[in-house]
Amino acid sequence: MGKLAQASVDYIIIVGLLLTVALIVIALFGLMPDFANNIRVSQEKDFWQIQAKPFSVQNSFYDNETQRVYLALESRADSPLIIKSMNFNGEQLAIFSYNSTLTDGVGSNFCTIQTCKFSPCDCTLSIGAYSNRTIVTEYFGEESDLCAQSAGSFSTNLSITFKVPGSNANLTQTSVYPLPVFCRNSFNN
Amino acid sequence: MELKGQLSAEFLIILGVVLLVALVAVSLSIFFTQSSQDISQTESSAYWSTQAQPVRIVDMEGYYYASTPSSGEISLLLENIDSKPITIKSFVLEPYGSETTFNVYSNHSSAGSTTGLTLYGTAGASALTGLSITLAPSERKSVYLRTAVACSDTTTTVRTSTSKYYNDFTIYYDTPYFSGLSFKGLRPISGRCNPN
Repeated sequence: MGKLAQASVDYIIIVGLLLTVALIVIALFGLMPDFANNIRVSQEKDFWQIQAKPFSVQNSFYDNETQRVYLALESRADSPLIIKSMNFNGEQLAIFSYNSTLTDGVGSNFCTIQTCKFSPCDCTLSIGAYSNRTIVTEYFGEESDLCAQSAGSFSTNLSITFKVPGSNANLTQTSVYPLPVFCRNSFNN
Repeated sequence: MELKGQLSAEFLIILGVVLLVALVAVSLSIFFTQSSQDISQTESSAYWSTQAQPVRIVDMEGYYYASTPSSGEISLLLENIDSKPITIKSFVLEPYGSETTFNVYSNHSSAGSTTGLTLYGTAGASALTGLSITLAPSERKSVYLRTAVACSDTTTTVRTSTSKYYNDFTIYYDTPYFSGLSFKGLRPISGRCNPN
């Protein structure tokens, strides 16, 4: 009986040690989520840069100062297309041209009203076949700074509604992967 | 006797597992926790080499020159991880104190002198467009920052030291689509100053 009790104590001590060491290992691997997040962001970026059709997104960043999202769109279609609306997580964005000569880069408005936040608005952004368009989108203006809560980037589901010129049918490109939007500290033109 | 044998076997198995896990833990501890500075340096290196976007720093070194003690060097091996070219326009090291500009070279100074070095241009808080270093997709390029705020004996900032550097780092760059972009690393660049 005495040996059995001794063996039980040994067993408990060893299990205790095992749990302590495991805790240390888990703590040391606290960096793992960063690496996993990094891989996820890379996959999302690669999808939107390389695979997304008919529109790919070559650059996407959120400027902390202007609180706007800047996008470089590329059309992979062999004919011109017209973007009618863009949504982040189901919320419609106002769309402006990007004007590099202006301080905040915000050029002319492509939508019928200044903000599409409170009511749907009709936008008309033409993109030629295999062409690029740089745009500024505005949705987060009245929101808290999303980059303050994220580690260098955040992801959002982007959908783009578009049509072929001369057609009345609207088509929608939806997110297979969320679009990663990178946080930038300043935007100095 | 059979019960005793059973307990011994369990004991040996558990002891083996404990030793194995302990070995892994000790190895990782040695790697990660040589000193608090090494932790900081490891975190900094890990962030800049694996998470920074769109330019990563895959290697960084500091140099203190006894012959030119007021001007240290930070060498950075940059990599463009984007699928488009990027043009670097400037770097800002913080805190920068009174040093609002510094020179960036394309080669390392072996003894501290800038003679024979090839100048990329001027960077710093007062020279946000002083460089034009283009990195093709996946291209790596070394840059050498000669500065008084790191690895020098000046008192330019409270962080300036001859033995280690620890500076917030911002990269200003242009893409084919947008100009005037910048991003400040979520971790500073840091490391020891190699004596020279």
